Amino acid sequence: MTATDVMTTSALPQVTLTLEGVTTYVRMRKLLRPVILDVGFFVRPGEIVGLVGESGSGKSMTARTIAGALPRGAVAEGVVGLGEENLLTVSRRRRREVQGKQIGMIFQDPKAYIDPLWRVEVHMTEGMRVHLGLSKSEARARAIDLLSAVGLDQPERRMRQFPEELSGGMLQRVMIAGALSVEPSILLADEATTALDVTTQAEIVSLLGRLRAERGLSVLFITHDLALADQICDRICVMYAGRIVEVREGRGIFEDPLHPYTKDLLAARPNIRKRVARLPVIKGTPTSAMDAPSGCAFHPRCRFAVEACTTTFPQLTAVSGGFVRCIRAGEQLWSEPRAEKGQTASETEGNSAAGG
Amino acid sequence: MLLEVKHLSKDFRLRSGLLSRSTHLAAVKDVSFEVPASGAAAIVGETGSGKTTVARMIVGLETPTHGEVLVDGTPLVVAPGPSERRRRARLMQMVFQNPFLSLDPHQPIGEGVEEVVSFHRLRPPAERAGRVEELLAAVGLDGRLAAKRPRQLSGGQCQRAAIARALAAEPQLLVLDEPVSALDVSTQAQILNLLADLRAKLGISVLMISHDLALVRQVADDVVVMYKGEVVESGKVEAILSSPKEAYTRRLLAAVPEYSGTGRATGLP
Amino acid sequence: MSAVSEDLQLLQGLSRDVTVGKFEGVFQKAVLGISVLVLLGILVCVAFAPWLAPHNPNGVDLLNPYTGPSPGYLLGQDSAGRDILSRLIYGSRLSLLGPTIVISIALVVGVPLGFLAGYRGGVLDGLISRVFDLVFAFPSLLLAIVIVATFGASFFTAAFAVAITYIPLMGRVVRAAALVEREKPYIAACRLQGYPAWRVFVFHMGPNMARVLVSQTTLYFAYGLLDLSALSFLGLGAQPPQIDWGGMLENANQGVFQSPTGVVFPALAIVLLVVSLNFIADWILEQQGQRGGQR
Repeated sequence: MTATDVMTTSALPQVTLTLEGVTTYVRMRKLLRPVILDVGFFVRPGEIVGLVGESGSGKSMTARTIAGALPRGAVAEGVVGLGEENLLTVSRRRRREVQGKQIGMIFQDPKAYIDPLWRVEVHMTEGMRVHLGLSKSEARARAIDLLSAVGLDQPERRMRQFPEELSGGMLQRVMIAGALSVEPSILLADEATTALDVTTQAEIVSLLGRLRAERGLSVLFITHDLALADQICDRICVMYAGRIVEVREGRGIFEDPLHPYTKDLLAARPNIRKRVARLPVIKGTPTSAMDAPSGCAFHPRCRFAVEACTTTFPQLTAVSGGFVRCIRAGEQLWSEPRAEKGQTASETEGNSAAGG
Repeated sequence: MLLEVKHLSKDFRLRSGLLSRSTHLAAVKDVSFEVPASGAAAIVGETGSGKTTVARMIVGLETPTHGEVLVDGTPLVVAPGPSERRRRARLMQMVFQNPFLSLDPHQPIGEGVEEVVSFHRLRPPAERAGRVEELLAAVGLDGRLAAKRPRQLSGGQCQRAAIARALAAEPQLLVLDEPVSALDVSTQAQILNLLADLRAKLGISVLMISHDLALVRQVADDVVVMYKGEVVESGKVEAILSSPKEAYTRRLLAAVPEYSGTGRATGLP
Repeated sequence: MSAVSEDLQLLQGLSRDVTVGKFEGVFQKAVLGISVLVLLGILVCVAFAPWLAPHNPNGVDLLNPYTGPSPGYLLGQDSAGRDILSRLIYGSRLSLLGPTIVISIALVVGVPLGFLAGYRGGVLDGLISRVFDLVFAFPSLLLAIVIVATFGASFFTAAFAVAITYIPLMGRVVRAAALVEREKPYIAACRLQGYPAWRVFVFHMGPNMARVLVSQTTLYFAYGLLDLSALSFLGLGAQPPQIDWGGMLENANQGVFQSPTGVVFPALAIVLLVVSLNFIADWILEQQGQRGGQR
């Protein structure tokens, strides 16, 4: 029984997006190498779910698998359920329809994704006219509404402007408005605030929260910043080496992290409240799915690894408020806070030449 | 006082249109602060605050419109030629944000470090290889990586190599422009610890440019907060972060997503 | 920013394998192979002309002008009854020497000028760029003709004349590349160390521009051949008894209906070499610097 089975049988009325056993391979020199393995989670209507990970974790690849934007030659297996359909098995044409209309995507760099050649108006109305069949004036009116809904002042003026005339934060709002214009079931936000200033980031995050409250918007929020995810997500999935290693509701990840990786990740971040003598480090570097060792992908870097960790591929085990992918999940691996463990010496990365 | 920055200003003249009616961009306005020997200071600000321009003026990559930079009480030449730069390289070095672009893509990292040592004639030829190994070890890189090119290394390894190259000139001040923002959290921690070690071992001063307040808290003793080219607030890190005086500083702090290492939620006032 | 840029790098690494480059497919690889063979074949002619040519290329046979292919003369005979095949083989020498002179001069003069203009910028750039613009203002062939007309028609004059028109071309390419590289932090790091400009170019910028330079040089070799052949066709290049393909075209022009092979084969040789060089230049540009790069 997969994690998602367990979750869905507990009387959920409706799920916007569900992933089950999704594994994606990319083609490298004629071979298929995995980038994400057995990924499963779900997003209910009006929920914001966070997908958090470092480099090689596969979080972006997961988004691309959902959106159908994989590199050439890549193969995805499993179930990506949107509504009643499995996006991985429907026809290409149906897939394109669904992607255009049901899934909205916003990216890290709005300047790279909004065509600088056209005015904002064109960017905003194009989707509506193609996918919703609205007329030019109808689309325009809706676009203006959306622009003010996302907090842009003087929306009519903004419509006439070119992307270069707007700041990063404003452009990101335009991108959000554009993504929402076709009334998608879910919004995929891939590092959407990473390139923004802290103050702008906070504004965009609260905007997403507002949209969720007002419109019941579902969001898959992808980021490398756990603290940021904490601000806004109802549930957080932590990814490592292409796998989901921990899923917890609410603030579970912060109050009581259960996977050694999550725990170490939280501790490694400088804390604005206090300075420590040395930051606790996780030795080694993050690995991707294709470079992962056998058994648990994290075991070479794990403080609690045992013999079995090198051979057993851990499954997701149910814990309070979520799941953890660790064979030692039930044990009380640490009882005190991390503070005094922060005396790890600065580790050399020297031994792994291309550690990823 | 190792570094003194006095009334530094930078005006960019932008040409707009064929008739070249130039407009001015005052990127930096009257910035002053000090960094003590073996000290650690940070300049904090968002995009457009001018913090990177200040850093570039200090090391000599930009020419100030007004103001001066003093090292050990001596003012630095405003538009340095190659011989002045050579001299200045022994005083201060810079580490950049993008680890991959900071290194010559074509050059094995060991060679890059050795080039600095031999260019400044810091060691006789026989001792150079040993010195390179020493420097690489000081930044936590295995000597066997010396033959690798940046493409073969991770972001963290590249940044360490860039630090090694900077240290090869034996500077007194290291200016770091967002040195870890392009790295993973786990790698960031390693680099920050490395910087603390280097400060302790070599007595080197550090000036870090960052937008990340948590980082600044961890690394710096003194901080300068900049907004739109001006200094908004400056002083000891502990003081400013616990009781910020200016509205902008408070806004900056309030926007920081907050959690503590033990998993307990803490909020700022 | 961190995780995404590395993810993207990983993706880009993957995509490089997956995207079909121009030379990935079998057909494209065959084309590249043929191009290399053509180039090699011509080089063989250059090296081994005396052994390959069936006749003395300047051996006249005035009784048989503009004759088509015949048993001893595979490609026919030209206006003075000389064997076209032998002339074609011997002609490869000057036809290749000319462009070699052109690119050599263009490189030796154009590259340093272009680098200084791009790297130093400012007044120096202004000066150098204006000089380049001056040369660009003239249609290159016309300028070459003027120079040759002034100094007398000969192989070397033609080669030098064309070379002059290629100096700004090479310089402009190098300047553009220098402008791009200059902004990268590793060059700023070099400047911070106090490295003089020549060191920056020889050890740092140069090697990183190498691929572009090699590709561009290959292209300019091809175009230089075209320009020089044009000059020879006008009688302003190599003078008899020197042989080059352009000159052969000029000679064959008169008797094109009686002996089309006289026109076809030199033209074919020029075209084949130019096209092959174009493919090879493209291929060079596409190589990702595989040495020491693996992810």
